[in-house]
This record gives sequence, structure tokens and C-alpha cells, in this order.
Amino acid sequence: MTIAYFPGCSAASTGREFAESTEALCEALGLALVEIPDWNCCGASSASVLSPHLNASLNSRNLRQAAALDAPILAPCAACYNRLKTAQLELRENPALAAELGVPASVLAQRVMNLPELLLEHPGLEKLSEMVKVDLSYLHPGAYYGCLMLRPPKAVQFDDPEQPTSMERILRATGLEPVEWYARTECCGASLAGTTARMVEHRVGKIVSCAQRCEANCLVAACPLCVLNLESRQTGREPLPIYYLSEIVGAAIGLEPTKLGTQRHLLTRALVAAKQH
Amino acid sequence: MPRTGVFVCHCGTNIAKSVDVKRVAEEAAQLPGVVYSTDYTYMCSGPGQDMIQEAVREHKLDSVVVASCSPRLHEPTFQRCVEGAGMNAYLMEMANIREQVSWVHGKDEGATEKAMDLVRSAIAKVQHNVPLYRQELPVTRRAVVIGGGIAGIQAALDIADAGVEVVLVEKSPSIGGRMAQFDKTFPTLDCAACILTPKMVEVASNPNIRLLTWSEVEKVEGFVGNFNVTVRKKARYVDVEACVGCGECWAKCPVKKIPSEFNAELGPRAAIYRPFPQAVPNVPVIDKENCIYLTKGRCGACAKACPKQCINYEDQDELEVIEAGAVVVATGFEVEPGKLYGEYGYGGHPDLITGMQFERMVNVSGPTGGHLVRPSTWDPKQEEGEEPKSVVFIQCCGSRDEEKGVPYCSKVCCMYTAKQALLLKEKLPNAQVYIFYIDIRAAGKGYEEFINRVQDEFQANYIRGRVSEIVPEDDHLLVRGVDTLLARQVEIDADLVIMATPLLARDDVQELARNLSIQTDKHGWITEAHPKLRPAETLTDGVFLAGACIFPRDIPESVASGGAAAAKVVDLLSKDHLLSVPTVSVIDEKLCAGCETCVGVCPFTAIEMVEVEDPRTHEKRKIARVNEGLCKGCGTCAVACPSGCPSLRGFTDEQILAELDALCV
Repeated sequence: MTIAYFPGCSAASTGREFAESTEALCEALGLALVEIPDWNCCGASSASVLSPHLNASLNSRNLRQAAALDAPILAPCAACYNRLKTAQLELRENPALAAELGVPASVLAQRVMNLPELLLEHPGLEKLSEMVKVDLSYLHPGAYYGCLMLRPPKAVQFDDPEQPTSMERILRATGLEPVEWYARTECCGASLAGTTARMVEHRVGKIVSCAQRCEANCLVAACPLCVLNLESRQTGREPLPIYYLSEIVGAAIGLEPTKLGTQRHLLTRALVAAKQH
Repeated sequence: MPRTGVFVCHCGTNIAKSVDVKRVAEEAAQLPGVVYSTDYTYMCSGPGQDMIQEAVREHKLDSVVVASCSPRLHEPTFQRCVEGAGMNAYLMEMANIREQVSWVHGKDEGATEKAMDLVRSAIAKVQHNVPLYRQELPVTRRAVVIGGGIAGIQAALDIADAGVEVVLVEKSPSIGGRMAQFDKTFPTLDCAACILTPKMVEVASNPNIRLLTWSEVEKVEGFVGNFNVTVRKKARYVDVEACVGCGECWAKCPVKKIPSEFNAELGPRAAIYRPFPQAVPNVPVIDKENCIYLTKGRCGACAKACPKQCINYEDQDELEVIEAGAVVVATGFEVEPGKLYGEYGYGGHPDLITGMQFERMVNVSGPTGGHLVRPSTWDPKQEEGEEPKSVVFIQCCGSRDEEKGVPYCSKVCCMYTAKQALLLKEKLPNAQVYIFYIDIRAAGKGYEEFINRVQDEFQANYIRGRVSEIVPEDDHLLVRGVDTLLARQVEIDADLVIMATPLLARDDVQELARNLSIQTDKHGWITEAHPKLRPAETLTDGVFLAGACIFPRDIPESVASGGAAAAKVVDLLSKDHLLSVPTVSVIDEKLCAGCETCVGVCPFTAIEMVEVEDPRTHEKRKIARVNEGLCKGCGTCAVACPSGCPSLRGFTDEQILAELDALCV
């Protein structure tokens, strides 16, 4: 099966391990990732603030570029995913703008997926659990969704925005027992790290301490912004390792941790332990 | 030549603000057949009606056009008015120049011209009208009241006291409804049971009331004065006549952990149960989904325990058709179960409860015997638990929230939350109480004073703002919210959190409404015939409304509306016969080919097929005939018939075409 792949900017920088593990995992699952030709920046959190229609115009171009591949779009980065979905909603609600930008209706109906969404369908929970080769059950992860993957619900329409379950279901199928904890959908502070770093430290501190109180020994996320903040802004005495969902699933089905980019993490003790196991 | 009078109403400034009323009257006077035309500030008032009657007599009018509001509002008023002057009521036509003109068009948008058009068309029609006469219909002097909450109980008692037979149909095992679940009532703090249970006993002992609990209305056929109400009497598996409510059966039932509906799922019940000790009738029912004998065919503990052999596992549902002249709908409301806000996590934390659960917990006959505790710590064997020291109430948990809940205000929550805070402080004076609110709505006798008392005397901390999330932290709940008056974020460590969830229309009322041909609004609440002037009636004659099936109501309003519905029923059933509305469909039997097209399209099942014999050839054939009691005069059959044999009295082709001609010329 072919997937139109939107790597996003972080794939080549702060989120390299996310891109590497996603690509390796998709290959192992028999999914052919074809990079969308000449894609451009999604505008992330800043474009829509600068100009009302900048987000729609940036991402309608991405959607049009993808249309030629005639395949569902995978945007692993939660910010890219969110922007593409939001652009689709903005243009569906504003046909005049869609006409001005020359966006056909078919482009607005294109399927845009995040990583958990893709895994739930390909290979699906049942097949996934059959593929598990490595026992990672000593990991008690807290599944961390952040905000961009779930909100605003009207635009993304993925999972329950307040009580999501998709990552937990995937982790369980992979042989891990995620803990029950209560900061799963809290904001990590996202791009405020550049301007109000202390705010982000405060947010990250709350998330990490909640996870530790609930006896998680790592967090699993699917957003490069979240992982960057969670890894680099922890101030607690006991650091909490953060992983991408693609690394955990990849490691569980027997992919080499180095192929998954695991060595690039700032805090990797647990998965290193897995190797020694 | 017809002698038509035209009366144009200003409706204060309602019409006059955008329609030049005087000009409409003057131009109408020029039209053929119009012998008198005038205008007046309030045509529906006493002087206005006198003016019409005088003109009818003085100018020998044979037809009248009143140009004013919608016939929905005042057609009966003006019909009575012209009848008073000796005219047939159906020689009066209304031109709706308020709802259809002044309320939707401005002065410069041709409002006066449109009003003139409508008046011209009404004149053309009325000059083709013929006198119509009402027929007498028989009346069954019995009423069916659906729903045995406080509104239904009040309606049943008032109807019965007037000497009319009542059948009270209640879905659950006992009457009492929501009020039976409450502890005390605001603002007087009367104990709900002390004022309700005597009424329940009165229902049981009143010779004019027949009580059918554990029963549901399945079908309603017929028309005003002559309804056939089919009631499903669900299998109770217990002999209502023989049972004395001794309680041996539920004490012995091995199934003990079913969440009790009456206790808002805060406590357990057995598979054979009566919802609460003061139940009327004081007879249990067997819940057939959970009974071991009825699901697996073994057990029989209750039958063995019963000293009077009341248990009958072979019991079956029974259908009974009740003939009645009037129906009162008093089906009440539902309480949203607390699931609207995922961020509060209801269901995950036992110490996060709904207002209804608090109501049961504070009640001495409730699951904790009236001990106010944190449900997570309650030990039913020791009958003890930890008392909360910090309690948060959250108002509007879904009311006034278009995004996640309902846009309307549920009306009773501000008051019951204040009451619950007071009851809590009475029992636990050292507890800290916080109440998150958007606005406090305390419009009622003694309500505002009650809120002030809860704030001042009982020191509840009212925080204006919303709660964003509730997360468990250590052994308590961390409530995060905002205080919008101080523009500050608030975090409160709470031992107990109570949500005031919205009141919703019942799901099952939709089917009942369809059965009764009554309307519901977009939220499912039943629509009254007129929101201000006919609040106890529906647009289906003979069907009346009581209580909170219309919209959230508190106890005094529900009782008053029960009484209002009863007064309407007694008024209706006190007549020896009823008068039919003559503007119904009639089928020309000579033309009817018996194709049954009309039968299929009639929304009121008012057309039946009958066999007739040709008097000369003695040939038998089937033709359609209209039941004039059921027909609402919608005209669907007249449009659908391929040979044009139904015609709607008062709206014949000739009359409609005259109207159209006048509009198009």
C-alpha cells in the first residue's frame, strides 16, 4: 500500500529519530512511503497567527501536491497533521477562499492521517500483536497525546479529545501495559520554548511529575514538538525517558534500535536496557 | 353582491410601525363587495370586537375580513366575535399582516403593499365562503394521565376530585417520580418525602383513580373525547393484590449488586426489588434481565421466601385498551448522567458525583443512610466512610454550553446546588464548600434570599467561572478552574465534587409524541399549543401537558401545571358532547374509485375504507370515508387524490383559486 508521506521540517532536524523510526516501521509493515513532491512548510503554529489565510494557502498547496499520488497522506508530526486538517476545514467552510486558491473539492476530501491512526488500520491491532517479537513489558509507559493531535476536535476529528484511547490500544497490542495517568492531553508548551522558556519548564514539570506519581517509567508520544520539550525541559531529579510511538512499536516487532534512531535521544536509558535484556 | 366588512388592526405598533394601516383600510374600501372598512389600535380588545359586531349589524355584513395577526393566535377570538353578532363563524377570514408582514418586512420594503395583497386575497376568499356547522361528538368521561411524578399525581388527584375517572399510567414500579428521590426542597427546606408521600397514598386510595404502575402507553388512537389508549402492563412476576410488601423476597434474593436506579446507581439493589420503602404500590417487581430464575431457570429463592405465594414466574406482559376522553402527558425529564465533559473524567473517580447522587447520599433512606462521605471510602458493612473536608460544586455542567451540552439554562440547578451546599454545611459545619457558577439565577419567591443565606450564614464560597479539568492527585481530586472576577486560575484540592448536570427531554417521549400527534422542539421538549396563552394544551385536541415534559420546571411550577392540565380535562369532560371542527375533508362518494391513495397519505389515519351498495344495481364497492373526529383538515388527501374527490371544507378549490386570482391580478 502506498502512503503519501509528509515528513515536515522536524524530520531533518530535532525530530530525526521520529522520521527514521516511522520510515523503518512503515517499511517493516509493508507500507510504501512516497514523499510528497516539493512539499513546503506547513506554517506550524506561527503562520495562522500572522495572516488569516496563510495557513490555508500553504497547506492547500501541500494537499494539491499530494493529490497526484492518489494515496492517503501520513503526517507523523502532530503540528503538520493539525495544520493540514485545519486547512481542509477552513477551505470546506469557506468555498470562496477555496475557489480563490484554486483548490478542488477532491483535495479537501483527501484522507490525512497521524501515526496512531495509521497503525490502528495498518496493520490493525490484531495483526500488530501477532508481529510482536521483543518483550517490552518492563516498560510502563504513559501515553502522551499533547494537544495538536486531538484539538480542535472539529478540525482533526480523531479519537476522543478529552479521554483518548488510541495510543493505549496500540501499546497494549504491542505487549506493554500503559499506566492510567491524568496529564495525557495537557499542552507541553509547544513553541513557547523560544519566548517563555520558564512557562514550558513549568508545563513539562507538571506532566512529568504526574506521570511519575502514577508510576510510569517512560512516556510515549507521537509529536516532535512534545518530545523535544519533554526531553530537554525536565528539571526533576529523576529523569523520565520519552519515546516516539514508532520507536516502541518498531522495537517490539524486532527492528534494530539504531535503525529506529534511538541513540539520538537525550534520555534513553530504558530502551538501552531493553537491548541488554 | 356580497356585503363584506374589513377590519385592519394596528396591534399597537406591532403592525403599524411598518404598515400604513389607514391606507390599507382605505384601499380595501374600494374593492368590489366591500361595504365597510376601518382600522383600530387593538382589534382583539373589547372595543375592537364591539366595533366589528356593530358594523355587522349596522351595515348588514355577510362576510368579515380581519387583517391582524396569525389565525393560530386569534381565529377563535374573531369567530366568537362574529357569531356574537349573529353571523356564521366560517364567514370570517383573517389576513395575517403581522407575522407575515410587519414582523418580517420594514416600512421601505413594500410592507404596506404586501399587507394590501393579503387583504385583497382574504376578501376574495371570504366572498366564496359558505356557512359551516359544527357537529356533536360523544365524550368518554375518563382521563388517562401518563407519568406518575408530582405533576401527574397532582393532575390525577385534581381530576379525580372533580368526580372524573382517572387511569394513572407509570412506567417504573412506583409512582413518586423524581421528587421521591430528593431529600429536601428549596427554598423552604420541606422534606420532599413528607409532602409527596401523602399525595402518593391519596392516589392509591382515591376510588376514582386506577393506578397502573410498571406499565407503558404503547399506542394512542382516536380523537378528542374518544381516545383508545393501549397500555402494556409489563410482567411484574408479583401478585399486586396479594403482596403486602413484607420484604422477605428481596432479603433472600441472591442477586444483590445491581446498581439501584432510584439511588442514582450509588447503591445496590436485588433482582426483585421495590425502588424505595415508601413506594406506592408497596409491591416489588422482578427485573427479568438480572433474575437468575428467569434467565437460567434455577434459583426460586424469592418464591420460597414469600409467605403469601405472590411470586409467579410465568407472568406475561398484558395489553389493555383504555377508552378515555382526554390524555395528560406528564412524562417529566431525564438528568444527564455526567458524561458530557471528558476532562472531568466522570466514571473514573468515585468521589466525582452528580447532583442526583448527592441528593440520594444526603437522604436518610439513601445508600449511606444519610452519611455524607467520600464514596471511595464508604464501607457498607461498617456503614462508615471518611467525611469530606473540602467540597466543590460545579454548576452548568452542560447547561448553557452549545459546544458540549445544551444551549438552554436548566433552571433548577442554581437553586438545588445552593440547597445541597446548605444541607452539607448543616451536616459537616467544618467542611469548606466551593461553588463554581456562571451566573446565579434565583428568580422565584424566596429564592434570592435563600442564595444569600447560603453565602452569608453557611459561608459557601461562590467562584464565578468554570472548571477546566479534574485530575486525581494523591488521594484527592485536584479541581482546576478559573475565577473570572479575580482573573485568576484556581486550583482546589477536593475530597468530593458534585456536578449539576443538565436536565434533558426523555428519549422515549419522541415515540409517545408521534403517537399523540403532538410536537417536540429541537431538544425534544414537548411543544405547547401556545407558549404563553395555552401552556397546558397541545395542538392535538384532548391532549394536555403537565410538569417538566415541556421544559425544566421546579416543584411548585410542576404542581401548578398539573392542576392547570386537570382543570382543562375537567372542563372538557364536563360537557355532554363536543363540537367538531367543520373544516375537515369530505369525500365525494360518487366519484371515489376506492384506490386508497388518500388512506396512505393521511398523517392522522383519519380515512378508512368502507363498503357501500349501489341503491339501484345493488353492486358492492369499496370507497374511502373520512372520520371527522380524527381529520385535522390538513388537505393532504385533497391534493393526492387522482380524481379530486376529497374536498376540504372551508378550503375548496374555488376558494383557494379566488385567493390566488386576487393575488396575481
